[in-house]
Amino acid sequence: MALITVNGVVLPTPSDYQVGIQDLSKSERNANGTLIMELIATKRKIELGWSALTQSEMSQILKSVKGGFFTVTYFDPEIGGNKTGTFYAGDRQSPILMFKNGVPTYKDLKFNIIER
Amino acid sequence: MYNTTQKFKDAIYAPTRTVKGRVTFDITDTSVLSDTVTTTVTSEFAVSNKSQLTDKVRANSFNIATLENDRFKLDGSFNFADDTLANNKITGWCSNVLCDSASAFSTSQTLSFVFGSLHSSAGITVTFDTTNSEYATDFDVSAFDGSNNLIYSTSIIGNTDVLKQIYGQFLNYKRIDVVIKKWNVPYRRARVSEVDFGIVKVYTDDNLISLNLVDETDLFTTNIPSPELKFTVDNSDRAFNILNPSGFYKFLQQRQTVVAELGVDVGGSIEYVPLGNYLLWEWRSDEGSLTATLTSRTNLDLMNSYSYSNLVAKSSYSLYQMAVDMFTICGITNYSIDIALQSILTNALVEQASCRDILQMIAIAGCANIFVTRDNKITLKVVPSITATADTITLNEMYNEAQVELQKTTRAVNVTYFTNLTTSAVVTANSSYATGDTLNLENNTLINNSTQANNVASWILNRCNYRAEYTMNWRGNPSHEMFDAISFQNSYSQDMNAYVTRTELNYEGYLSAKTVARGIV
Repeated sequence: MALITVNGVVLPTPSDYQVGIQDLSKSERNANGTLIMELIATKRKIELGWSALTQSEMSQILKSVKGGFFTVTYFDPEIGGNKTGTFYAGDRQSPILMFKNGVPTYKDLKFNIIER
Repeated sequence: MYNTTQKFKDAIYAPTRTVKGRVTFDITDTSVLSDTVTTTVTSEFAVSNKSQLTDKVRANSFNIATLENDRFKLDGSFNFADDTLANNKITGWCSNVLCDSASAFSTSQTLSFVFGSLHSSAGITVTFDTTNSEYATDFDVSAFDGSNNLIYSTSIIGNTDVLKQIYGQFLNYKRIDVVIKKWNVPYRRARVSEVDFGIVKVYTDDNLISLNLVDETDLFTTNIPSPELKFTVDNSDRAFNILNPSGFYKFLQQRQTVVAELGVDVGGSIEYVPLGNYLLWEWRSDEGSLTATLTSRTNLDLMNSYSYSNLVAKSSYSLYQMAVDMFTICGITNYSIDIALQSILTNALVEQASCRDILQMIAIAGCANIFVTRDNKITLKVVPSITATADTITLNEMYNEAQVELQKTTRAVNVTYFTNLTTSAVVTANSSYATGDTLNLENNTLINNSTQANNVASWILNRCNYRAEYTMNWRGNPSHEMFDAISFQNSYSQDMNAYVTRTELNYEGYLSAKTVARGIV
């Protein structure tokens, strides 16, 4: 079972994987001063990181999350199994660890994907 | 107050709640609705009504048990069919033959619709078995012109939707065929609840940006405001852009149907309350954003388009009958008139006016109020004094304590009555206040004698007692209707009782509301 799949393509297993659970809500205090909450939706924000990547792995990851929204199947800690949703990606940066004989090796690729 | 379950009543005022909005927008050529349509089918089961395929009702009244696999469960989820077909109410169409083990029909089941004239639409929408979430996986849709020549055809393979939109430029057709070849469950009859000759879009939280409903009435019936529903939808696909050749814009028409609902999560499922059926009035794609905003109003506005006059006095003619006649002229069938108006007679003399204005005159002459209920019924009701309240709004539901404004006192009311269009007299009713406004009701020619004029004057004076206008910003409850008597808490004294006279519901993923109510000081 893959940890994370984007648009049907299995990504290299990330070294850093954190699933954040965000309750989107409108909260306000009532006339008695008690907080009341209008729960709109619960969304996932997944922090991803890879400590070392080859050029082909880096390309595969970056291509899979470009262009707006994409479908992600991921391991969800709340249900203890795979879950699928539509996500978009935050900013990506690609630091190079070394560039030897014209071949780059990358380190510490980190970005997050946020559920639509 | 719209009837809801106890679960809904608990959930709507829970400290944490989830509210969902849903708007069903029927982008159908409105001329189709008034055209004659002849429906023929390949086969029809005993408990089936093919005439309901085009009745604009997409849900069956009962889940009727039949001798098909898993369709005769004795767990309370099915109903026995009544021998009288009409007693089964909405059944939709059901084929007489079953599909085979591979879910295929040996003889394809064809629904054919022939119109009296030519029509065009952005597509066709087929609603299958909504009760059990079953559908045709493979089916064809074909359109034919006035000479029965095929002008458009498409095959749907592998469908998984109960409500399926088939997009296409269906232009100038006179006949539509839906040919069902395969079902999603083996050994099943084909079932279709509705075929819409246009695109039926259901907007939920995935594509509904906001929804705003303003519902209003008048304590004195000095005007009869029509509820207005405005909703904004995701237009990132540019379907509502005017220059998009494959969009909906050219198929949008005034009076297309909009059905809005707000629901609350009652423990895993959503219980919806209808906000009414509306008619599309205005639309625009919002400049600089990826949204489109559509405004819709009710049948009450439609009554402005029809006028009426009567210059010959009628006898033994009640205000009730006159209201029925006004609705009939406007083609409105969903109404409710208080039977108290049956005993109030009028000579029905009126000069040329819109049916809406005449309905207002009828209501005032009958000491009644006009509003539209949640199930879209235009209602003339003699509203009784508040004896019991339908709901209580506590400080827990309000963002701020209700603002109270006192209206001026009324000293007297003058009501003019007319024995004919040119002969009139005035009666006066005085209040207990020595100072204050004097109200005049002058042009209602449906009030024809001093007794009725006195009744109207007393009714207006009684209404003037509801001087306290309460305005609340609060969480909102979509089941509240106009003239519901509600009780609301304040920090000074006992709960105050008042009639709801204005509700503004705002939905943007969550619900908030502004309610105006009138009560006795």
